[in-house]
Amino acid sequence: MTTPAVAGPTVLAPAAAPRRRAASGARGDHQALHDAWEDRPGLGGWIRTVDHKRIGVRYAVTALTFLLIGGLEALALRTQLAVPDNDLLGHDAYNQLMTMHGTTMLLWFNTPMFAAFGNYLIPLQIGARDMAFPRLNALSYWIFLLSGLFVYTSFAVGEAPDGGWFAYTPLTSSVYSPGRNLDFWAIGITFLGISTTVGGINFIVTILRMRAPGMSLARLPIFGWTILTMSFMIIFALPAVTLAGALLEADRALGMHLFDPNGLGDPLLYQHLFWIWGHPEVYIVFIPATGIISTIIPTFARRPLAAHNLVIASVVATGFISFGLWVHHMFAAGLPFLVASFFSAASLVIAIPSGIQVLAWLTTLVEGRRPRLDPPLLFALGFIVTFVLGGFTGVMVAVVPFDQAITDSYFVVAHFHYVLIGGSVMPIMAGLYFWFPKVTGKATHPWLGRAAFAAIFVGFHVTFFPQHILGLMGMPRRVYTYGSDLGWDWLNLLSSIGAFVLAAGFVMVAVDLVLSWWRGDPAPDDPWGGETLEWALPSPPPPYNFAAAPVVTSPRPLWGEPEAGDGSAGDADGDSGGHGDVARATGHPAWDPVRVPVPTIERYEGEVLDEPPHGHHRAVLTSVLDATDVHVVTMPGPSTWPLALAAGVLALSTGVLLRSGLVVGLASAWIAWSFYRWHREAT
Amino acid sequence: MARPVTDAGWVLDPRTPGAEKVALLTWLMLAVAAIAFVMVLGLLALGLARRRRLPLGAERWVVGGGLVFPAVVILALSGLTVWALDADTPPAGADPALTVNVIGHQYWWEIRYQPGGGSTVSGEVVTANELVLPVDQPVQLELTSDDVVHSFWVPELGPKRDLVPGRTNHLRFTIDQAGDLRGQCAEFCGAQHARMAFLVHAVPADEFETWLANEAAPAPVPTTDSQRAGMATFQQEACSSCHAIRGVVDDPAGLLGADRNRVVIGPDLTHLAARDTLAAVTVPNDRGHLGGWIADPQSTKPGSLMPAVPLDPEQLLSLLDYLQSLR
Repeated sequence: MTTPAVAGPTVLAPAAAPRRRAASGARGDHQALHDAWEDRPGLGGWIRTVDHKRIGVRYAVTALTFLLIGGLEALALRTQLAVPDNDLLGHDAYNQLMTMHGTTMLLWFNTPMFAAFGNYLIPLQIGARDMAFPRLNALSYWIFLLSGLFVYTSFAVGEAPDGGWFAYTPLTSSVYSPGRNLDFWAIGITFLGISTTVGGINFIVTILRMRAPGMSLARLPIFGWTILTMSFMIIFALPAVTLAGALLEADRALGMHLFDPNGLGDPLLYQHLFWIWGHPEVYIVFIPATGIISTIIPTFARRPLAAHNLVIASVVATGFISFGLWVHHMFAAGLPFLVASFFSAASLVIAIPSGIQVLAWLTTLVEGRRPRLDPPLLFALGFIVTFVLGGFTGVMVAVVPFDQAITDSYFVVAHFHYVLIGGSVMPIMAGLYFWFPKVTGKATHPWLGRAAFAAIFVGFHVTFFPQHILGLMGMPRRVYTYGSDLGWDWLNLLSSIGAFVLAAGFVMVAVDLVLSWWRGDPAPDDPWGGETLEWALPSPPPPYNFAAAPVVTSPRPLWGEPEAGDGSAGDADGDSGGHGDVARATGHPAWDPVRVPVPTIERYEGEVLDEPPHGHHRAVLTSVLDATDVHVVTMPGPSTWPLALAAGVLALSTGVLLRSGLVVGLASAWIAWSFYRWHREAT
Repeated sequence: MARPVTDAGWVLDPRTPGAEKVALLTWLMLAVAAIAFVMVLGLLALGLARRRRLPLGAERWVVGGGLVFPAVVILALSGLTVWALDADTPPAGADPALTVNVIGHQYWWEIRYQPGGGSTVSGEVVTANELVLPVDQPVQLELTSDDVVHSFWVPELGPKRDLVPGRTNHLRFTIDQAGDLRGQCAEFCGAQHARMAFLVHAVPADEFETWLANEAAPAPVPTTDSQRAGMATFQQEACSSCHAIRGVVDDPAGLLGADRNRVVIGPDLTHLAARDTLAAVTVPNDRGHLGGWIADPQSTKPGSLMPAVPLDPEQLLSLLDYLQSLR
């Protein structure tokens, strides 16, 4: 069924395409496609769907719910710390909420939130009809959801994890934590790891094989580069934490003594395993955030991203270097000087790719049109200001003697909230506002988003800036209370007040998005004048995305090519020929992207794309580097088995938690049966 | 001898040569960061304020500001790292005048002075939660833990160091001025991580010798009937299952083996009355707080591993008399 159709990108250029028209069409034009791709109505269709857009929205709603939960936990913590010697929360409640705040925010909100963006946007931006493995994609989501429910069941039974989100041994061994609290944690993160790992593999294959004809890797939109980098990082980093969680559970359930100093084990082994994942994890949630910013800023500035190729190189370099940083979480653990020096150097060097990106965003803004201050741009600007500050303290904590002075103090709490909220959550808010009209077809409220930004920006800095000073004043992390004689009172009170302002900002975002979705004004298909393919589609896009495969001849498919002859200028500005240099060379600084219609192809030597036989999902595969060598393939359709398999993993986790061999055996059999049925079920 | 410590601490108020270098480095980094931040804000303001496009030559700015500038800063910081770490590693052969073992417990600090090493005192000195150190003498701490990971941190003394079970970490410094400092556990260690603090009393060398000689002596002999009754209470009730008073109860757990460090359950109380605070700097060491702590430890420090010992009022009062005589 596959046909090597075309020799190179030139063949896919508009002139060679059989027919030119917009990449999408009205529903009536594509009834057969609609019938093939639309889910059945009702609960059955909802459960069985493999539509990356529905799964993406589901991921987003679930992850944002975890943001809400993690945020409420944070408010409880800040309320407890607002005044000294507070007995609002006891140490037990505080330690559980603190542990679950960190765990929830990083693992069940932040990482899955980028799975949401990636799921929704990657197939649209690369001109594909779905992810490469649609059922695996559904499995990722169900496991994400069920693992979250599993961990949160611990609150219902009064045994929430309380060993800190890092769960250092031996505190988390069965000797010092005899309850089931840490079992929920260790089993839960191992369980969730399946979701994140298969999600990463799915993104990699999707990006490498499903790109539209002509979209060579050099023309992959920058958000795609960041998701690709994030996914490679996930599949290399995640096994470490899965191993840490599984070995911790083996210590607890089977008495393995892997981390027990009295049994020839070593607690530092656990710390290494945890941070080998834990540090890249920070970049796993930062890199795709930069992808959102690198998409939004050029769109608002009407100028292609400055130093485009250098930014992509920076993204990839950050991914590599981030694996050489983990020991900087352990500078106080008493490691040899040489080891500390190596990791210190790597921690410093990672400032360079970040510096390149920051300067690229700033110069894009300066060289572009004066931008309108809509919520996506406001959050992007808030990101730059906040992330830069977090980056400076990041360089400071890379310096070993300074790190040894302030590690595990509130200075570090301030630092990583600057890089996580500033560097990741603000871009997420920017992205939500930017793509909301595409996902829903509705416009957000004209000023509520701006007010939300103001509250989040001000609230954030009031909450976290004082924590730098508290750290320098000797306030350690993870304390549930402090004495009134220590001089920490008013800064803590200020920080707690800020937390409520910050929370109010997030509530405003939630209200805005929910109300706008429910009864907002209709939005145009392309409200911002975006450069990537999703803006050529109706809002919301049809279930099959593209009626015919778009043909891509530029890294900015909707902005067209620079004028003929300019492409040979050759500089660091990207393979499209450097618009900045074009502007200078022509003395014509007002470079304005021209919106071009996207050419499409519908037919390869008899393989018809938009008239699928038997209602099957049909999609286009292309070659890894050049996106030529087009194949048409039949994709797996909707299925119940991903959910069934995920439910089996939930039962397996519960069996391990209850130490029940019977449940473990039955669950394993069910997983094997689901796996078998999954593959038997017709596409 | 020491006043109660009311200040938490301040990393930028260094009391050792090493911490001084770190403080200097901190100010330097803050200054460079401030300049760079102003430049970022300037570019950002330019991006929002100008009316028309400004062809800056973006690539040159990206390479200059994003690559060359951080590279120069990083090279400088690498050099300064080596310079500042140098203070942390004393020259080979320089024996510390004093070596002290600090052993972490949930949620208190066991402190054992190693005999010899320049000091005239040869007896064993074991105390808890208050570290008395001489000024202007190199001191070495040997840090380990009896249970979970803890971390030793006094902001004015520079680096913190983890107390990892099964390992011994070292920390060397010379305190250059007398005064009282507060330290606190910096690695999450369980329920009462928040109330695992300690005090450092930095005193002149002669004062230190006097203190050490007093601590090395066995517990004072009770002099009144009430004190004698209190001593009997201590010996007969649960107190003596966990706490040692040298000369009275030497082996509280009844497990004393070759390695004395491994069988410590509660703090040594031989010279309890000489300490400023109780329960790892949770409350002042006065009669009222001591009585409250013994009668109901869980209300003073919930989650503490010290159980309430049921005593009748008479027993408690005589026990207080005895404990307060342990100077």
